[in-house]
Amino acid sequence: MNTNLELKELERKIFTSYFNDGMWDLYGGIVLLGFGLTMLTNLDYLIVAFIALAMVPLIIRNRVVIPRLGVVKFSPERQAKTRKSKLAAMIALTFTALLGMVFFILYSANAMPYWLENWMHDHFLTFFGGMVAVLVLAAAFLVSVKRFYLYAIAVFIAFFLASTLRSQDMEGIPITVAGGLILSWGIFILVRFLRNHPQSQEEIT
Amino acid sequence: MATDKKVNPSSQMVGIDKLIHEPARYNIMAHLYVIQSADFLSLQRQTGLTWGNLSSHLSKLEKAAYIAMEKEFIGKKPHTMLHLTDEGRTAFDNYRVSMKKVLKRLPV
Repeated sequence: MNTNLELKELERKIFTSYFNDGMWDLYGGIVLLGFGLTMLTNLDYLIVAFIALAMVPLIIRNRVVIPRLGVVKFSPERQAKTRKSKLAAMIALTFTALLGMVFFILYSANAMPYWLENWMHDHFLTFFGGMVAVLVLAAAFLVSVKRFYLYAIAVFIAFFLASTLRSQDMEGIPITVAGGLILSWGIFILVRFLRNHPQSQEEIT
Repeated sequence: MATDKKVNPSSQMVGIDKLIHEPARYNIMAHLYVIQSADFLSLQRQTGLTWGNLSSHLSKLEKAAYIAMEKEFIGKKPHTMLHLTDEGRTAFDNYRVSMKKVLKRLPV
Protein backbone atom coordinates (compact mmCIF):
# COMPACT_ATOMS: atom_id res chain seq x y z
CA MET A 1 0.00 0.00 0.00
CA ASN A 2 1.48 3.33 -0.98
CA THR A 3 -0.51 5.94 0.89
CA ASN A 4 1.49 8.81 -0.62
CA LEU A 5 0.38 7.73 -4.06
CA GLU A 6 -3.22 7.41 -2.88
CA LEU A 7 -3.17 10.92 -1.42
CA LYS A 8 -1.67 12.27 -4.64
CA GLU A 9 -4.43 10.53 -6.57
CA LEU A 10 -7.03 11.99 -4.20
CA GLU A 11 -5.68 15.50 -4.78
CA ARG A 12 -5.73 14.91 -8.54
CA LYS A 13 -9.33 13.65 -8.28
CA ILE A 14 -10.43 16.78 -6.39
CA PHE A 15 -8.62 19.00 -8.89
CA THR A 16 -10.09 17.33 -11.98
CA SER A 17 -13.59 17.39 -10.45
CA TYR A 18 -13.45 21.14 -11.04
CA PHE A 19 -13.19 20.48 -14.80
CA ASN A 20 -16.15 18.14 -15.03
CA ASP A 21 -18.77 20.85 -15.34
CA GLY A 22 -18.43 21.24 -19.13
CA MET A 23 -17.45 24.91 -18.95
CA TRP A 24 -14.20 24.60 -20.89
CA ASP A 25 -15.97 22.43 -23.45
CA LEU A 26 -18.70 25.07 -23.88
CA TYR A 27 -16.11 27.83 -24.16
CA GLY A 28 -13.97 26.02 -26.73
CA GLY A 29 -17.02 24.78 -28.65
CA ILE A 30 -18.54 28.26 -28.93
CA VAL A 31 -15.28 29.85 -30.15
CA LEU A 32 -14.66 27.07 -32.68
CA LEU A 33 -18.27 27.17 -33.88
CA GLY A 34 -18.02 30.94 -34.29
CA PHE A 35 -14.80 30.55 -36.23
CA GLY A 36 -16.33 27.96 -38.55
CA LEU A 37 -19.58 29.87 -39.12
CA THR A 38 -17.65 33.07 -39.85
CA MET A 39 -15.68 31.20 -42.51
CA LEU A 40 -18.85 29.68 -43.94
CA THR A 41 -20.87 32.88 -44.09
CA ASN A 42 -18.06 35.42 -44.58
CA LEU A 43 -19.77 37.59 -41.96
CA ASP A 44 -16.76 38.86 -40.00
CA TYR A 45 -18.81 40.25 -37.12
CA LEU A 46 -20.00 36.74 -36.29
CA ILE A 47 -16.68 35.83 -34.67
CA VAL A 48 -16.93 38.91 -32.40
CA ALA A 49 -20.48 37.89 -31.44
CA PHE A 50 -19.36 34.34 -30.69
CA ILE A 51 -16.37 35.50 -28.63
CA ALA A 52 -18.81 37.62 -26.59
CA LEU A 53 -21.08 34.57 -26.32
CA ALA A 54 -18.11 32.55 -25.04
CA MET A 55 -18.26 34.65 -21.86
CA VAL A 56 -21.56 32.94 -20.99
CA PRO A 57 -19.83 29.82 -19.57
CA LEU A 58 -17.88 32.09 -17.22
CA ILE A 59 -21.15 33.55 -15.90
CA ILE A 60 -22.67 30.06 -15.64
CA ARG A 61 -19.60 28.89 -13.72
CA ASN A 62 -19.87 31.67 -11.14
CA ARG A 63 -23.65 31.64 -10.77
CA VAL A 64 -24.57 27.98 -11.29
CA VAL A 65 -21.55 25.71 -10.91
CA ILE A 66 -19.67 27.12 -7.90
CA PRO A 67 -22.79 27.28 -5.68
CA ARG A 68 -23.29 23.57 -6.39
CA LEU A 69 -19.67 22.47 -6.18
CA GLY A 70 -18.31 24.61 -3.37
CA VAL A 71 -14.96 26.31 -3.06
CA VAL A 72 -11.58 24.64 -2.70
CA LYS A 73 -8.22 26.30 -2.20
CA PHE A 74 -5.55 23.97 -3.45
CA SER A 75 -2.14 23.45 -1.90
CA PRO A 76 0.57 26.08 -2.53
CA GLU A 77 2.37 23.54 -4.78
CA ARG A 78 -0.74 23.07 -6.92
CA GLN A 79 -1.32 26.83 -7.00
CA ALA A 80 2.27 27.38 -8.13
CA LYS A 81 1.84 24.72 -10.82
CA THR A 82 -1.40 26.38 -12.00
CA ARG A 83 0.30 29.79 -12.09
CA LYS A 84 3.16 28.36 -14.18
CA SER A 85 0.68 26.69 -16.54
CA LYS A 86 -1.23 29.96 -16.98
CA LEU A 87 2.03 31.79 -17.64
CA ALA A 88 3.06 29.18 -20.23
CA ALA A 89 -0.36 29.47 -21.91
CA MET A 90 -0.08 33.28 -21.94
CA ILE A 91 3.40 33.11 -23.50
CA ALA A 92 2.18 30.62 -26.13
CA LEU A 93 -0.85 32.78 -26.94
CA THR A 94 1.24 35.95 -27.12
CA PHE A 95 3.74 34.19 -29.38
CA THR A 96 0.91 32.98 -31.65
CA ALA A 97 -0.65 36.46 -31.73
CA LEU A 98 2.71 38.12 -32.50
CA LEU A 99 3.41 35.62 -35.25
CA GLY A 100 -0.03 36.31 -36.72
CA MET A 101 0.59 40.05 -36.50
CA VAL A 102 3.97 39.76 -38.25
CA PHE A 103 2.38 37.72 -41.05
CA PHE A 104 -0.47 40.22 -41.33
CA ILE A 105 1.89 43.22 -41.51
CA LEU A 106 4.12 41.49 -44.07
CA TYR A 107 1.07 40.51 -46.10
CA SER A 108 -0.51 43.99 -45.93
CA ALA A 109 2.74 45.68 -46.94
CA ASN A 110 3.25 43.25 -49.80
CA ALA A 111 6.56 42.44 -48.18
CA MET A 112 5.96 38.76 -47.68
CA PRO A 113 8.36 36.55 -49.61
CA TYR A 114 6.66 34.79 -52.48
CA TRP A 115 7.43 31.31 -51.18
CA LEU A 116 6.05 32.19 -47.74
CA GLU A 117 2.91 33.68 -49.23
CA ASN A 118 2.39 30.52 -51.24
CA TRP A 119 3.03 28.34 -48.23
CA MET A 120 0.67 30.39 -46.08
CA HIS A 121 -1.99 30.22 -48.74
CA ASP A 122 -1.78 26.44 -48.89
CA HIS A 123 -1.06 25.51 -45.29
CA PHE A 124 -2.02 28.37 -43.00
CA LEU A 125 -5.13 26.66 -41.65
CA THR A 126 -3.22 23.43 -40.92
CA PHE A 127 -0.48 25.46 -39.23
CA PHE A 128 -2.99 27.45 -37.17
CA GLY A 129 -4.95 24.31 -36.27
CA GLY A 130 -1.70 22.65 -35.21
CA MET A 131 -0.89 25.53 -32.87
CA VAL A 132 -4.37 25.50 -31.34
CA ALA A 133 -4.18 21.71 -30.99
CA VAL A 134 -0.84 22.00 -29.17
CA LEU A 135 -2.42 24.47 -26.74
CA VAL A 136 -5.35 22.12 -26.13
CA LEU A 137 -2.93 19.19 -25.69
CA ALA A 138 -0.95 21.18 -23.13
CA ALA A 139 -4.19 22.00 -21.27
CA ALA A 140 -5.20 18.31 -21.35
CA PHE A 141 -1.85 17.31 -19.89
CA LEU A 142 -1.84 20.00 -17.21
CA VAL A 143 -5.36 19.43 -15.94
CA SER A 144 -5.34 15.66 -16.59
CA VAL A 145 -8.66 15.66 -18.42
CA LYS A 146 -8.62 12.88 -21.01
CA ARG A 147 -11.36 14.24 -23.28
CA PHE A 148 -9.25 17.34 -23.97
CA TYR A 149 -6.78 15.08 -25.82
CA LEU A 150 -9.63 14.06 -28.13
CA TYR A 151 -10.55 17.72 -28.61
CA ALA A 152 -6.95 18.49 -29.61
CA ILE A 153 -7.08 15.74 -32.24
CA ALA A 154 -10.52 16.94 -33.42
CA VAL A 155 -9.27 20.53 -33.75
CA PHE A 156 -6.23 19.50 -35.76
CA ILE A 157 -8.25 17.22 -38.08
CA ALA A 158 -10.89 19.96 -38.56
CA PHE A 159 -8.30 22.57 -39.55
CA PHE A 160 -6.43 20.08 -41.74
CA LEU A 161 -9.68 19.21 -43.55
CA ALA A 162 -10.52 22.92 -43.78
CA SER A 163 -7.17 23.48 -45.45
CA THR A 164 -7.88 20.77 -48.04
CA LEU A 165 -11.44 22.01 -48.65
CA ARG A 166 -10.33 25.61 -49.06
CA SER A 167 -10.27 25.48 -52.85
CA GLN A 168 -13.96 24.50 -52.85
CA ASP A 169 -14.92 27.33 -50.45
CA MET A 170 -16.06 24.81 -47.86
CA GLU A 171 -13.32 25.31 -45.29
CA GLY A 172 -15.80 26.38 -42.62
CA ILE A 173 -17.67 23.08 -42.60
CA PRO A 174 -15.21 20.83 -40.69
CA ILE A 175 -14.49 23.59 -38.16
CA THR A 176 -18.22 24.23 -37.63
CA VAL A 177 -18.81 20.48 -37.20
CA ALA A 178 -15.93 20.15 -34.69
CA GLY A 179 -17.15 23.21 -32.78
CA GLY A 180 -20.71 21.89 -32.77
CA LEU A 181 -19.58 18.50 -31.47
CA ILE A 182 -17.47 19.98 -28.67
CA LEU A 183 -20.29 22.37 -27.74
CA SER A 184 -22.82 19.52 -27.68
CA TRP A 185 -20.52 17.44 -25.50
CA GLY A 186 -20.11 20.44 -23.18
CA ILE A 187 -23.89 20.80 -22.88
CA PHE A 188 -24.18 17.06 -22.15
CA ILE A 189 -21.52 17.32 -19.40
CA LEU A 190 -23.20 20.41 -17.93
CA VAL A 191 -26.62 18.72 -17.84
CA ARG A 192 -25.07 15.63 -16.21
CA PHE A 193 -23.28 17.87 -13.71
CA LEU A 194 -26.50 19.72 -12.81
CA ARG A 195 -28.32 16.43 -12.39
CA ASN A 196 -25.60 15.01 -10.12
CA HIS A 197 -25.12 18.20 -8.16
CA PRO A 198 -28.50 19.58 -7.13
CA GLN A 199 -28.53 22.99 -5.49
CA SER A 200 -27.87 22.58 -1.79
CA GLN A 201 -30.84 23.44 0.41
CA GLU A 202 -28.59 24.19 3.37
CA GLU A 203 -27.06 27.51 4.25
CA ILE A 204 -23.62 27.60 2.60
CA THR A 205 -22.10 30.12 4.95
CA MET B 1 5.16 -28.95 21.59
CA ALA B 2 4.92 -26.37 18.86
CA THR B 3 3.74 -22.99 20.03
CA ASP B 4 1.29 -21.30 17.76
CA LYS B 5 1.82 -17.56 18.07
CA LYS B 6 -1.50 -15.85 17.55
CA VAL B 7 -1.66 -12.15 16.89
CA ASN B 8 -4.39 -10.35 18.72
CA PRO B 9 -5.62 -7.71 16.25
CA SER B 10 -6.89 -5.43 19.00
CA SER B 11 -3.46 -5.33 20.66
CA GLN B 12 -1.99 -4.19 17.34
CA MET B 13 -4.29 -1.17 17.33
CA VAL B 14 -2.75 0.41 20.43
CA GLY B 15 -1.52 3.86 19.54
CA ILE B 16 -3.91 4.29 16.65
CA ASP B 17 -5.81 7.57 16.77
CA LYS B 18 -9.41 6.39 17.13
CA LEU B 19 -10.75 9.78 16.13
CA ILE B 20 -9.16 9.53 12.70
CA HIS B 21 -9.69 5.78 12.41
CA GLU B 22 -13.43 6.22 11.80
CA PRO B 23 -13.82 5.94 7.97
CA ALA B 24 -15.86 9.12 7.49
CA ARG B 25 -13.47 11.19 9.59
CA TYR B 26 -10.47 9.62 7.84
CA ASN B 27 -12.08 10.61 4.56
CA ILE B 28 -12.54 14.21 5.74
CA MET B 29 -9.00 14.41 7.11
CA ALA B 30 -7.51 12.94 3.91
CA HIS B 31 -9.39 15.46 1.79
CA LEU B 32 -8.29 18.40 3.91
CA TYR B 33 -4.74 17.01 4.05
CA VAL B 34 -4.17 17.25 0.28
CA ILE B 35 -5.58 20.77 -0.14
CA GLN B 36 -5.18 24.06 1.65
CA SER B 37 -8.82 24.62 2.60
CA ALA B 38 -12.34 23.89 1.44
CA ASP B 39 -15.83 25.06 2.25
CA PHE B 40 -18.51 22.85 3.75
CA LEU B 41 -20.29 22.25 0.45
CA SER B 42 -17.23 21.11 -1.47
CA LEU B 43 -16.26 18.81 1.36
CA GLN B 44 -19.74 17.34 1.30
CA ARG B 45 -19.54 16.81 -2.48
CA GLN B 46 -16.10 15.27 -2.35
CA THR B 47 -16.68 12.94 0.61
CA GLY B 48 -20.24 11.97 -0.30
CA LEU B 49 -21.39 12.45 3.30
CA THR B 50 -24.78 13.86 4.20
CA TRP B 51 -25.02 17.38 5.60
CA GLY B 52 -25.82 16.23 9.16
CA ASN B 53 -23.23 13.47 9.14
CA LEU B 54 -20.49 15.78 7.90
CA SER B 55 -21.47 18.43 10.40
CA SER B 56 -21.28 16.00 13.32
CA HIS B 57 -17.87 14.62 12.26
CA LEU B 58 -16.52 18.12 11.71
CA SER B 59 -17.61 19.11 15.21
CA LYS B 60 -15.64 16.20 16.68
CA LEU B 61 -12.58 17.04 14.65
CA GLU B 62 -12.86 20.69 15.58
CA LYS B 63 -13.18 19.80 19.26
CA ALA B 64 -9.93 17.84 18.96
CA ALA B 65 -8.38 20.91 17.32
CA TYR B 66 -7.61 18.88 14.18
CA ILE B 67 -9.53 21.26 11.96
CA ALA B 68 -10.27 24.95 12.15
CA MET B 69 -12.95 27.10 10.55
CA GLU B 70 -12.22 30.48 9.10
CA LYS B 71 -14.71 33.06 7.92
CA GLU B 72 -13.72 34.87 4.77
CA PHE B 73 -15.39 36.82 2.02
CA ILE B 74 -15.76 35.56 -1.52
CA GLY B 75 -16.98 38.57 -3.40
CA LYS B 76 -19.42 40.11 -0.95
CA LYS B 77 -20.59 36.84 0.56
CA PRO B 78 -19.21 35.53 3.85
CA HIS B 79 -17.87 32.03 3.51
CA THR B 80 -16.67 29.45 6.01
CA MET B 81 -13.53 27.66 4.94
CA LEU B 82 -12.23 24.58 6.73
CA HIS B 83 -8.61 23.60 7.01
CA LEU B 84 -6.42 21.17 8.89
CA THR B 85 -4.55 22.69 11.82
CA ASP B 86 -0.86 21.90 12.30
CA GLU B 87 -1.95 19.56 15.05
CA GLY B 88 -4.39 17.85 12.70
CA ARG B 89 -1.75 17.49 10.01
CA THR B 90 0.69 15.92 12.45
CA ALA B 91 -2.02 13.63 13.82
CA PHE B 92 -2.86 12.49 10.29
CA ASP B 93 0.83 11.86 9.51
CA ASN B 94 1.20 9.87 12.73
CA TYR B 95 -1.97 7.92 12.00
CA ARG B 96 -0.65 6.88 8.58
CA VAL B 97 2.70 5.81 10.05
CA SER B 98 0.99 3.82 12.83
CA MET B 99 -1.37 2.13 10.38
CA LYS B 100 1.51 1.16 8.11
CA LYS B 101 3.25 -0.45 11.08
CA VAL B 102 0.10 -2.32 12.10
CA LEU B 103 -0.49 -3.59 8.57
CA LYS B 104 3.13 -4.72 8.29
CA ARG B 105 2.86 -6.72 11.50
CA LEU B 106 -0.34 -8.48 10.50
CA PRO B 107 0.14 -12.09 9.34
CA VAL B 108 -0.57 -12.61 5.66
